[in-house]
Amino acid sequence: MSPSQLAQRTRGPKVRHEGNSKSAPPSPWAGRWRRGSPLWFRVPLAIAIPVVALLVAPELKNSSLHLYTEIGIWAAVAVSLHLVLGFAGQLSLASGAFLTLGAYIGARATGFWHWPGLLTVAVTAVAALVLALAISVVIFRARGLHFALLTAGISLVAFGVIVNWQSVTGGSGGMSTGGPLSEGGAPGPLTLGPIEIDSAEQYFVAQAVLLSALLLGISILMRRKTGESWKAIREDDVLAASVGVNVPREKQIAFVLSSVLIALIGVFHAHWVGFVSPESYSFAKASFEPVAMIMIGGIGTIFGPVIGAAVVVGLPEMLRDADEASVLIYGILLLLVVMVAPRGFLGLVKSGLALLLSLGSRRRAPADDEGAGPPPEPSESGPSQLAGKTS
Amino acid sequence: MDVFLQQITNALVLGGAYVLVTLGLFLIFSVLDIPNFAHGEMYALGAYLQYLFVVQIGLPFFVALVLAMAGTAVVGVIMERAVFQRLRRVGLFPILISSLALAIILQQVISLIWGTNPVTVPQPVGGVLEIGSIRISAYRLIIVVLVLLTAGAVAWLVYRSGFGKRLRALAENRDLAQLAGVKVGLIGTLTFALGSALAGLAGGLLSAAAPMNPYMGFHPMLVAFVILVVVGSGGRLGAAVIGGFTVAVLETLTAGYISNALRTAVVFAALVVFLILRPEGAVRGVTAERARL
Amino acid sequence: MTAPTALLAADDISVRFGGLQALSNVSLTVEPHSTVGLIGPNGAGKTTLINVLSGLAAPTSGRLLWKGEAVRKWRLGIAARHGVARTFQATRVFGGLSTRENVLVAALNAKRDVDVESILEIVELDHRQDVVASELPFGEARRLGVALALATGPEVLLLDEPGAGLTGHDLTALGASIQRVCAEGVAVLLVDHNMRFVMGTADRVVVMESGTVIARGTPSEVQVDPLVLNAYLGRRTVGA
Repeated sequence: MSPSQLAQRTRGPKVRHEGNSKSAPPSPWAGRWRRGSPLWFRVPLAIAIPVVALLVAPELKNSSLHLYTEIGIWAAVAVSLHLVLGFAGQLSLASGAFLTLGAYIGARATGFWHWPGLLTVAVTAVAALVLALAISVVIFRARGLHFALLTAGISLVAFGVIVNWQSVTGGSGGMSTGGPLSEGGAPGPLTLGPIEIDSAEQYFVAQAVLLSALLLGISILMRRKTGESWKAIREDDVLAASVGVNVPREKQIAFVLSSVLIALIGVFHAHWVGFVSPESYSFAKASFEPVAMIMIGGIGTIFGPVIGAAVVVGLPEMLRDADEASVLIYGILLLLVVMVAPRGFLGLVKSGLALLLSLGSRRRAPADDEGAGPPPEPSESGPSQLAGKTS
Repeated sequence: MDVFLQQITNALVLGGAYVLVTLGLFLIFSVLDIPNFAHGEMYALGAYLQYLFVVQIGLPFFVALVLAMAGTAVVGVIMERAVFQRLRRVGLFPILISSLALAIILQQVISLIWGTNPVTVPQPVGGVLEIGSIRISAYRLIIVVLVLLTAGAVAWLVYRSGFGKRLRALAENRDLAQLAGVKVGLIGTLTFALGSALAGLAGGLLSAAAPMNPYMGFHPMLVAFVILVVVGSGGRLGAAVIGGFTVAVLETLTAGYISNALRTAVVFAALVVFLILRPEGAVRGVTAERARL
Repeated sequence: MTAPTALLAADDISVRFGGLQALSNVSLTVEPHSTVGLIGPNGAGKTTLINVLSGLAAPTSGRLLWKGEAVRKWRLGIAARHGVARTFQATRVFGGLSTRENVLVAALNAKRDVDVESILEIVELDHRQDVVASELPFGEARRLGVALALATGPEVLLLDEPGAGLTGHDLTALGASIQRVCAEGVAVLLVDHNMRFVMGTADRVVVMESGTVIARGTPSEVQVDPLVLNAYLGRRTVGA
């Protein structure tokens, strides 16, 4: 019996399956909204966004470029961290450690060793991979609070190392990507093969490319077996294991992938700012804020962290004079989200839409409503690949 | 040797702060299962309230101290009732995040009200004592004595009083305690208030020993968590006291003999190593559910 | 000596948690085309045994054999991928996914091709496919739990009180489903408090008390065993 037939049936005697079953039929849209926009929509979107960025860049003021680039960078961090938080389901506070790793390798490589950007990226990726693999072997034996503390500890130890290893990292004073301050170097550009990224506009476009590619990549990944396993783990990792999901390995994959991505973003960030210091990657900024972004935007969705980043990074801008209150405000926002709207902003939007649509279907909405609704929310994907797999 | 003993003496005050903060966290976590990351802010709040009452309003030091403790207790109760009680049933993750959010909020409120520049509170008692080859300021000695007395009072309260009996019942098995007639909601809230007040006391005492800033609560809070993990939430309070002094000594010696900047890293490196070896933390009693996935 | 046809066997398993001896020298086999009923009063160790068999708990001594060979590393995920599926006493489903998506996820790592549609039919949830699992009423959620276990294409099925909370028609239908599954070659271990249900569904029964096996045999043999009667005297649970 199709959902729409079922919907019609409820106008008559209630269909009873169990003595205590709910009589309302599922909305015909319920599944669709959870799954989000299809891939053939997202691929062109991923191409369009950087193109738009390219076209729009010359028109924007420097301050706007700066803001959007910053939002984009932190959005990428949040999206990457979400692989662990939203899918492995554990509170990881280790992002600071990997951002720091990438940023400092990047700064040192470009400023002191004069490496080509591609080499820096490759080395950072390998370093992050090795470190993340080593860490992942042990951290997942801990859960809940211990996991959070362990990852927090890793970030704090990284912070301590940076501050103390003065000869290599410049200590609390930091260092520039342009080389030793004594030599008066201006921040070095990020050279990736033939592409040199130097100006604010170029960073803005580059960031748009990276973020789009990241989001598209994750959208694709979520539709594959790994993504499905991750969603199951997030719902109930014990149950997932009992149905054959290799939970320890999937968590490890999520963590390693997330850490490598974050480290690479660190390289980018360091070059964009032109300067690295421990304060830029403090626990609050680099480990906790991405978590806040994920929660506020909507955990469990692909685009939620982007929205969260826009809110958290954009808040000081929007508040102008009152920007000292911005951290307070996003703290309050985060608290409200956790208590009242645990699925974040996107969760609210999706629930609202689903509610509206189910109301519409029950009242048998007039024809002109069909298809004229708001565009599908780009959010977590559904098991579209699975449909063909099993007989 | 003298230098060494002097270092230890210096560590006693720091240890005292850690002991009180840890005791507070212990009570809250053992009884309510709440990993309260905002606990450190109770410490900071205690210090700033002390500053408010002594410097800004002009009350006598120890009167202000009592008020500061009351103030932190009240804030703690508000947090418990408004946030943690509601999230109890939802899960650990929301509690972790919301306590982090509360910590941020409190930190910001403090820095908005009092600014970020370090301030201090004048010591109520001056003078320096010399015991053998060790010098210790009279006030610092008072702090240590007060800490030990408080720890003793808390121990008496928990292990010898009627309230303590109910508290321990609640810690062991909430549902059973409730069935046995223990008013779990009330006892829980009182415990939270007590725990927060202890942290506030630590802050108030230390306010006259060192300059304060709005971020001062972060480190003691993490130390308390380290001790909590290592000792285990079912441990006896005495272990928390020993833990607090041990960490303080460890930090001070590291700062003195190795490098001042490494003091935090050493403690957390120790935590990381410990959790690597024993991911469940220190487990007591029957069994830890190590989910074997 | 375990029977050559046994798929999963517990050989002299003991489990000790701190000061509590949960299982003492328990041996048990699960064979294809048969249903073993595991009964016993509360605290007998039945769920602990299921936890050991499914990899969730580790035995303090003794060993587990899979198809005659001792297993070295046995975890929940590993067991499932070998073909040992289980349900949980407290119903577990993937709440945020739909009923159908639940089964699809369970089938992801199945050892053999799994027909999602027919599994949904067996548990009578085929008309509820798009309902989000967290909105399923108790009985349906319970059936979904069984469907999840079935969707892994198991060779061994461990059911921990599948009938709890079910009555009448639902219970009979569950028993019939179990027998169907068993007829297809799956080895079933069934734990339940409902005596009538177990006796009616199982071919063999194992009775436990306080962590040890006190009787084995066919349902009719076990029902008249004096040790069993003693264990249940005064605490007999009449079939619901």
